[in-house]
Amino acid sequence: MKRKGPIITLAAGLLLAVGLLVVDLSVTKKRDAAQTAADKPVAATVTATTPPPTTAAPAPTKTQPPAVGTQTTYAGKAGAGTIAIAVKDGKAVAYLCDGHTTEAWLQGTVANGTISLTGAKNASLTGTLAGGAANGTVTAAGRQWTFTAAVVAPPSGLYRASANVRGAQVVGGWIVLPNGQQVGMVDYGDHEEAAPALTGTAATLGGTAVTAVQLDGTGL
Amino acid sequence: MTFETTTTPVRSSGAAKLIVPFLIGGAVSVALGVYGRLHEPTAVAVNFAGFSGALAAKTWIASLAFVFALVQLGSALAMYGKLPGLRRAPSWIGTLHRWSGRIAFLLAIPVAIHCLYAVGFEAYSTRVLVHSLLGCFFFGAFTVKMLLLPRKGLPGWLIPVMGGLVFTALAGLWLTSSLWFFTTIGVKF
Repeated sequence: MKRKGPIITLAAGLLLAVGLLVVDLSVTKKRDAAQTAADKPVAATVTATTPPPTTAAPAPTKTQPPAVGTQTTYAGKAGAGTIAIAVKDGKAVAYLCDGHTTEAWLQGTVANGTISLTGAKNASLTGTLAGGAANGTVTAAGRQWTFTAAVVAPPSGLYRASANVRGAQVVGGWIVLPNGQQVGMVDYGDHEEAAPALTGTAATLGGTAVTAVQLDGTGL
Repeated sequence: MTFETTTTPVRSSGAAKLIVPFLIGGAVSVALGVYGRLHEPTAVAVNFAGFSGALAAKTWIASLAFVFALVQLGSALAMYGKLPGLRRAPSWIGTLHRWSGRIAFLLAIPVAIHCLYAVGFEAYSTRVLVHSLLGCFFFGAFTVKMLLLPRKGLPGWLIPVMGGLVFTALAGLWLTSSLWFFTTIGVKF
C-alpha cells in the first residue's frame, strides 16, 4: 500500500476543516457587523415612532411607571431583533428574538427603575425604566444589542409554551406586537427555528398542540 | 547473555512506535472536545443550498457518509476473506476501501465543523452527550488508523480493530443525530 496515502487523507481533511472554519468566522463577522450597523439607525427611528402606539392603547393609564402589584410589559426593537420585557412586583422576564437564528430568555429584578437580568450561556440585560419605556443593552450569543421598548397592552406581550416532544424538551417564545406582528422562535434542544404562528394562546410545536402562557414577569 | 540483550531493546522500541499514533489521536479527540466546550456557539454557519436548513443538510450529508462507511465495512470484510462465497477478494477491493473511506471522512468534516462551530459540545441530554463524545472519539480514532497504516510489523488484529472502532463511532454518531432528525422532525430535505 502507498505509504503517503493515509497522511495525505488526514492533511486533506485538516485543510478542508480549516477552510470551513475560516468561512464560518467571516460569515459570523459579517453578521455581527450588520448587527451593529442596524443598531444605530434603528434606535433613532424607534424613539420617534413609539409615542403613537402608547397613545392608541386602550387604557393610557397603564403607561404609568409600575407600582407594586402592577404588571407591565414592554416590547420593541433590539437591533435587527425584537425584545419583550415583562415586569411585575420588582421581578422581570425578558425574551430577545430575531425570528430565525437567535433567541435568549433572561430573568431577574427591577429596582428603582433599573433592570438587571441574566440568562443561560452568559446572556445578560441591563437597562432603565422611565417614562413608559425600557432602554438598555442585551448581551447574548456572543454579541450586544441595544434596545428601546415601549409599554404594550394585552393581547400584545410575551408568550411562552413548552412541551415534551418525543423525549425532547421543546420551548417556544413569542413576542406579539401592537401592530399584530409576531416574532418568535422554537428551541428544539439542539437547534432553533422560527416559531409557527400563535393563535390566541394556541400553537403547534413539533406536531404537538400547546397552549402558551402570557408571561407577567414573575418567572419563566 | 547476548540473547537477552538483543531481545529487550527490540520489544520496547516496537511498543514505543505504536504509542505515538495513539497519543496524536488522543490529542485530536481532546482538542476537539475542548474547542467544542469553550468556544461560544454562534448558531451560524455556511448555508447549504437546496436544503431546508443546516440541520437537514447535515443529516443527509452524514447519512451519505454512513453509506460510504458501510462500503468500508463490506470491502474490509472482503479483504480479510470474511465474506461467505468470496474467498479471494478482487484486486480493486483495496482501492474501493481506501476511496470510500476518504469520501466518508471528507463528507463528515463539514458536518463536524458546523456541529463544533455553531452548536458546541453539549451535555443537556444523553443523546447530545453521547454524540459530542463520539464526535471527538471518531476523529481521534480515524487519525490513529491513518497513522498506523504505513507501519510494518503491527499485530494482525490492530488495523481491523481500529477500523471497527471508527465504523462503530460513526454508526453511533449517525444514530444520535440523523436518525433523531428523521424520527423527530421527519424525513425531509
